[in-house]
Amino acid sequence: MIKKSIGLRILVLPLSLAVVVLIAVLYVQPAFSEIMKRKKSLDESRKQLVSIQAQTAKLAQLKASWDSMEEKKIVTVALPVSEATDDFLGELYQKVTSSGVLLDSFSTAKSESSEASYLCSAQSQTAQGAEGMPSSSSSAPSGAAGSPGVAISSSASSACVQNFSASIGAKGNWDQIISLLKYTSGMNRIVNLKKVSISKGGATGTENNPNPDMLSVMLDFELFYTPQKSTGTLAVNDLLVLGNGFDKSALSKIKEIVSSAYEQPVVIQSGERNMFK
Amino acid sequence: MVTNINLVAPEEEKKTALSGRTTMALSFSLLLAVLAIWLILAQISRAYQSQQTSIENQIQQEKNKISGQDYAVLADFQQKVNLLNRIIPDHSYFDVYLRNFSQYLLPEVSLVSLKWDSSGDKVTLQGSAPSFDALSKAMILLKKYPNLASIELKNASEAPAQNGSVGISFEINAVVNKTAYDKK
Repeated sequence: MIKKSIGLRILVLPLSLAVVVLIAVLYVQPAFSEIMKRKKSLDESRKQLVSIQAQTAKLAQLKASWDSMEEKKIVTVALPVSEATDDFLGELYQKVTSSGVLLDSFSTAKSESSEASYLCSAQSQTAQGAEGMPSSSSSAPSGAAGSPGVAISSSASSACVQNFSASIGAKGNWDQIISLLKYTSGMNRIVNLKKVSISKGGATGTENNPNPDMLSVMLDFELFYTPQKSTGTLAVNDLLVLGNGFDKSALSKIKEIVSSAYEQPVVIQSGERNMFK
Repeated sequence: MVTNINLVAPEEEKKTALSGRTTMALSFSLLLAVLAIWLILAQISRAYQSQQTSIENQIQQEKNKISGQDYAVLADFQQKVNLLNRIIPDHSYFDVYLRNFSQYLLPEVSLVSLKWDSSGDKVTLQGSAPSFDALSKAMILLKKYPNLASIELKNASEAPAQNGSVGISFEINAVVNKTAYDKK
């Protein structure tokens, strides 16, 4: 009996040590590993949170500065959310009046193939989430007085920007046409000239007294518009946050064009001449 | 030399053996300690888990805020700026081109029509010259235009001029560089 008691007393400590080691290996060590893993993950999440909070703060700052930006209106007009043909015609008519030419035709058209995809390829890569495109079945606005009917046909739409063309026909002398070209290149709405045709003898002063200086001009423009986004995209906001806010160089380029919209006509410089005279 | 070696064993020291109660208490304490450590670790793990969930929720909220309506106007604005930045390179100042180009047309030569297409920057000039000599000189002068990529006399033929005399009507095809339409 005494021997048995001594044997138990000797065995208890090693047994308990064995159990302790077993618990440590089976439970404590995995729990410790799990803690380290979670701690690492937590640290990463904290860093991410700090970073994203910094982004939000920067965006809030950008929003505050954007609210007072003069370029806001410039960009909105330069690239409207709809075709806004009436606005375009209104501004165009101002330019026509300023240049002194006689506008005799105006028309707009959308071709099936004109998707402006060349402008959207890189844009769509950064944008997350497809944005729904509005239906492009707007009715044709009426053209200028005495102009032929405006024909707008629906066309394919692109992911980020849509385009359509507008054509005008006008009559005037060399200087007036030069002025018209100058004014139209500085319109508030950014338009790209696609075709120009200037020809002689397209008009006369009066039936008895033809004006030999009168020229006919046809201008084809490409116009752009993009629908309003209802939600922001993280990719774009990343660009804002990681960069120095809005793209200042692009804004200055836009202002360089638009700021010339209301310049007065300049007298033709010496050494130049009317090529049609 | 004599070396003394002490072969006598040292006196046995008294060994303090653990009593049965102490052994049991020690074993139990060890078990309790390891269990306590495990419980504490599990608790810490749960706390980390809870914090992780909370932070992930905050991150999601911030992301929703960024991609939400609040900043949609900024995203829209920047996208428009990006698009305009892609549109502007094709923006041409055609008046600048015409005024510059006109300096390279011989005074004796006048145009009847000028057509330009942005695709390929092709310019087609149709006009009249008083003679073939004047036309050749006009071609020489046109070739001096710095933004000219290529020029080709398509055709030239005798035709009655406006004043009744016989002149040369011609058609010239030219290709100009994009820099010709830059604002200068």
